[in-house]
Amino acid sequence: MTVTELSSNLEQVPSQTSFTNLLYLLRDKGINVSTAEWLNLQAVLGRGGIQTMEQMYQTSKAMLVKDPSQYPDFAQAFAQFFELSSNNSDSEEQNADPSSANDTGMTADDLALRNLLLQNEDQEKKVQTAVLATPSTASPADVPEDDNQVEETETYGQQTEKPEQANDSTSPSLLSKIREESESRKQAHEQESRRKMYERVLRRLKNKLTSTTAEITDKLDVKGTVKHIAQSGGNIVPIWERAVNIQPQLLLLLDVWGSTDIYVDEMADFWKAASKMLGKITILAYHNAPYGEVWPVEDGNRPIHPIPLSKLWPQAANTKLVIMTDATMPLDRDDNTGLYNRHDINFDHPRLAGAKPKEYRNTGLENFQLMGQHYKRAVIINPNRQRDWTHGYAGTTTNHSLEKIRRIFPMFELTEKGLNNAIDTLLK
Amino acid sequence: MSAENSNGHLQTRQLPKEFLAAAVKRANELSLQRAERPYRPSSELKFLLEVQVETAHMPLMLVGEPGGGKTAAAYHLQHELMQKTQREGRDANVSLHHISCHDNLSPREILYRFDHLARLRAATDGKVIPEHLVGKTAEWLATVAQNPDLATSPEFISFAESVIKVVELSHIQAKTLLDPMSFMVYGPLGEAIIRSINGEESVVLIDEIDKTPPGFEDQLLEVIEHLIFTLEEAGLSVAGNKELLHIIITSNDQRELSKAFLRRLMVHEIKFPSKKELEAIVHDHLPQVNNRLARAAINFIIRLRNELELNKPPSTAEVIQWIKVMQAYNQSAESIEAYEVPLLEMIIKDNEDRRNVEDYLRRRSY
Repeated sequence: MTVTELSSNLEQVPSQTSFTNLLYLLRDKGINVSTAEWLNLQAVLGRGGIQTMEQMYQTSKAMLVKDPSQYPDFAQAFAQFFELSSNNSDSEEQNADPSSANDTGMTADDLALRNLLLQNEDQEKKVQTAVLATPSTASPADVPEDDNQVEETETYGQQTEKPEQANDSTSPSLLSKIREESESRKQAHEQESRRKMYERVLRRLKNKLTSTTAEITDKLDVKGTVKHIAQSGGNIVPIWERAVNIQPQLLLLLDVWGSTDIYVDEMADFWKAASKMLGKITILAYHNAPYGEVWPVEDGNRPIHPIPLSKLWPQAANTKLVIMTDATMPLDRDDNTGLYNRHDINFDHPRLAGAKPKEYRNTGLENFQLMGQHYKRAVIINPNRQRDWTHGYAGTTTNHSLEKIRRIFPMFELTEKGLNNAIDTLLK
Repeated sequence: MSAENSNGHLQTRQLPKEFLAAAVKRANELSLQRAERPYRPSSELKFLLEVQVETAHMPLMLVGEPGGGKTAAAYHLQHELMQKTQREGRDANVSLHHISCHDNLSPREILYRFDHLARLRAATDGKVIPEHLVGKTAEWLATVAQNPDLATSPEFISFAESVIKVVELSHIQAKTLLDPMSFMVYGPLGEAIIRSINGEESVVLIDEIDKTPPGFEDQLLEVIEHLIFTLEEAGLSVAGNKELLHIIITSNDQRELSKAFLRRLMVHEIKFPSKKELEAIVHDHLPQVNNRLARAAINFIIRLRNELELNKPPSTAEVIQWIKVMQAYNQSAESIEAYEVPLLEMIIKDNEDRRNVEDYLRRRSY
């Protein structure tokens, strides 16, 4: 069936605005569709540009959703509004969600148009099925040669052998598309948009950091001075050497293990984005509080290559420090991981040869304070949202530790706004 | 192109005219070849391009990984429109105006600039009446003053008429020459709008709009929505024909674009193709490809993308080039299947990714 043939079916399309409640449903889901965008979609619908339910899905997605991370929410709202879910589990999910009640507010005209779009969808699918069933149309690339391809071909085969599936009121291809958007891609989209947000913010930091290069030193550039004298006809002007690599460095310190485990994805994404955007940065780890030592993040949750804190101080003046922690821990703990605890360190470890035991006698809080003294530009990024900072971890009163640490370092939440504010503070 | 001579002065290197003409011709040919390159849009993109051209008449913004075919989609659209106009027996002159965005680009630059210098030159030239005519007029005026009868002589009338004609002509010429519209130099978008007014079809590609400075897009809202722009020097606003001008915008999401701008567009995300789609794309571009090599390479790419979190995963364009070069150097499918992958540099560009992939290959090759 051609598009022209299909469009003859659409002569019954009502002239007034259609599917108005989809607009409100989308807005309820956080997709802020404007009136102008909605009217643009109506114009395309009115001109007969949309013939099938799948085309309705594709066009409305392109015209109403401008951020791909919202595709999953859009897919859910679309399926809910047009009542496309035929799957039992989907229905259960819908019933469990009070906002997705059966009454989607479709008018009689809306229902007629919905049915028409579905009917056209089925007719088009029949045509496609017939085309797929014709062996001569297969291209060389369609010929299966390995296991995966055989599976894919079998999927097509099911369609060709069971054309009655296409007569279902719900379109399998559209449904599978919606399921793909709303389930499997949701996590990937969230991660992708999070990474992009981190990169956007870190790009700002990078631009600021790299603009502070090429400062004049107190060392005379002899060659440059002689060249200038020769070029300027004997006019003596001293040319000073420029230090080009004195830009401030960045140290990222991650609080690993325990209460921060639930933020591991966000922290790993931030770490990756920072490595990507800022090149060679130092990323170290600690648990709860720094008890005399930190370790390379590659070591994981425990120090395999411990680095005494005192080794960090020489570079601290030129380094900006970003600590990523939820700053949540008991003040005292039996296993010595509280804020007021100090660790018993095994000084026999070969990596600690030469380290002075007194460096390790500070409590976690004292070491945070020591860091605050050495790093003049330091911030804490808290992956926990600010609204929850007063609640403490798992209903305990460990938010006391957060308040104490927050007095040493300005603290910002791990959101675009929080990161921008943190960067402003670092660059002051 | 410039170079420094022995006196330390910069000198411009001139391109000989015959070479310049050849280079311009070659550029045009390349542009046409680019439009004819095989391109396999997803069914969704194909449909949205149809909606854009036939019913919505609004710009389509394509987002997605670099090298995923966003730019190629615009050339594909040009090619499709040319074929369509040819089929309909119309003039198949559908032009493509490619705007490569950068951080110094101004919105006005892509619409038009006013050539003030040319207008000044024209004004100076237009005012001059030939010197010999001025001298001869002075002689005739003196003669007629002494002998008024000569004013009716055929010689004088003939001369006076010719002078008036010259003066009239110079006025008309000045009017025409100094018309501000004659000094408008249109940018790619401006030219396409003017073409649409003249009934000619165009595709405008605003490539990588995220590279422009913040606020760039907000100065183009009227142009994007209604194809209206104002020629300030002429005091005129012109509106293009939306049915004949199709705007494709691409973005790599390096900065957030304003909501006001986005609401005037359709947005579509180009996803990395499935294995089957990628095989078909490779066959389109490399019809003579060794099937086994192509399949091994594609399997490897799909595995890499699924199993490793790469900062910069290989794009479709990179995969095609990689397979092409591997085939040219007689690389075998067996080596890829044994995880001894040649020419990794062509698909893995990020240092951290490279370490990860090498580590992955070591683990898999045991």
